[in-house]
Amino acid sequence: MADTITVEVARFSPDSDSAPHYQSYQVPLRKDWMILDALNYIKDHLDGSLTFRWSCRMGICGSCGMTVNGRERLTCETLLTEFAPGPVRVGALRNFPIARDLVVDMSDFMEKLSMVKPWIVRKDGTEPVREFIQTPEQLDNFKQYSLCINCMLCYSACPVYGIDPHFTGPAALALAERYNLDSRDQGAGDRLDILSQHDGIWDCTVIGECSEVCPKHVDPSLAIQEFKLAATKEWYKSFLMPWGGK
Amino acid sequence: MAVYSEFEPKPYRQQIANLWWLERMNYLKFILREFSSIFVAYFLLVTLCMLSAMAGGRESYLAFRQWMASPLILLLNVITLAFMVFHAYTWTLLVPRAMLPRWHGKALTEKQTALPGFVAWGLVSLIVAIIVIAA
Amino acid sequence: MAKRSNEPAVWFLFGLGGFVTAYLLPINILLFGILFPIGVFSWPGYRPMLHLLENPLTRLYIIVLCFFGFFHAAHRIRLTLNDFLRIKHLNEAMGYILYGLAGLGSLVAFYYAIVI
Repeated sequence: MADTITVEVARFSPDSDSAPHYQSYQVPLRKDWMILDALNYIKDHLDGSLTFRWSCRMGICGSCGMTVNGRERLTCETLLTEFAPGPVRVGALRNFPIARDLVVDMSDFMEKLSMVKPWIVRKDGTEPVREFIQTPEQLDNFKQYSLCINCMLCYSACPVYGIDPHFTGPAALALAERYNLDSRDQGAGDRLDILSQHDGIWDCTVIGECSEVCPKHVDPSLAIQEFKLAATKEWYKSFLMPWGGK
Repeated sequence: MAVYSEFEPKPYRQQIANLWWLERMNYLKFILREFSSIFVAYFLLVTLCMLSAMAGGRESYLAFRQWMASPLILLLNVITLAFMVFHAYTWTLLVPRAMLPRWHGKALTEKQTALPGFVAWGLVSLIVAIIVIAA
Repeated sequence: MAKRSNEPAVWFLFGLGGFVTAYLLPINILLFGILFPIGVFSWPGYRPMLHLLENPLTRLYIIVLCFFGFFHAAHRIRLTLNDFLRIKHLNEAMGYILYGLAGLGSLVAFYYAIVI
């Protein structure tokens, strides 16, 4: 195995560049290094101006999402040697505005997350006096969707979001479904009102790339299709039996 | 009190390419899968033509049979068959991507959920084939 | 609170149409589009075919196949044109045209299913 590998990193400085360009660096090819280690090496020894997000370096905080050779990856979980002999290209997440180098503007994502009412909604008006009891089976219903670490890889992979940023997007919809399926929640109707819209679940054309790239196997595509089935049932119920309550 | 600031964000707005579906195999497979719908429409129209030919009497039915044997239509039909098989295959595999049913409390795997679809496809095809060929 | 979209109505037709076209069309094309024309099996004669078509089950088969099939195709074509040609702003117009055509096709199928 060679000593070093060429890492091509997307650079963009809003003050001086009109578009991102790639800059090459020679990085030691250590067999236990992740892409993130290579980026930190570049910043520490070669080019201190390189800007990127990272935190836990163990695949749980969701900060280090980027594209590696065109595919969405968590750079703290992606081995450098996977791309030997190289070169390997590191770019920012797609479909988001690039603020600088590998850092993207997350504000639209944060908005989408908040708009789905991602909390337990109670409609019976009472304040809880003790914890809600939930069986392991009830937890199983939504547990998978609760594992999202908000890394935004799914938004980068989703062409529908790329074509139309009004689309609510995989992570937000999976989060909504997580609460819909939670036995303690009574807000499924509210979320249907917000999300059974053209910019909500109905924009999804089941490309499925979101679930392919998700590092936590949340499977947002499945969540969205389940949501569609629930919305369809509700629509036909209200159509065929309009006298029923919500 | 207003504070003057020189900072004004100038982010780079990435645009998705017009040929985005060529960038990944999964995207290409998706577009092909969806394009099968054009061939669905084509063969449904052919079916309507057949019905129209039947309604027109024996001569028009025979003329329809001749037309179906013409090389261009035959080629189109072969392509359509390929797309229809692709559609049936991908559609059945999509069922577990829309729901994971439970059996006695345990969730079924994707293969188990898709299997009844393939079985149904085979059975239905067999029944139709027998009925039509025996006619 | 925004009113819920009416998309579920068409999505349901699209879903059923997917199953119907997936399981019924391949064998139909194989027989009527390939095997009969090239002679692997012989075409059904006019009388036997008529007899088959007069059966109420066959009439139902045709109506189900064409109605759900046309709407499935119309829905999918509309969504694919959105993604492929990026003409989402024409979504509503495309909807009327495509579902209108699907409705037309279904009516024609219904007519033949009754009349033959």
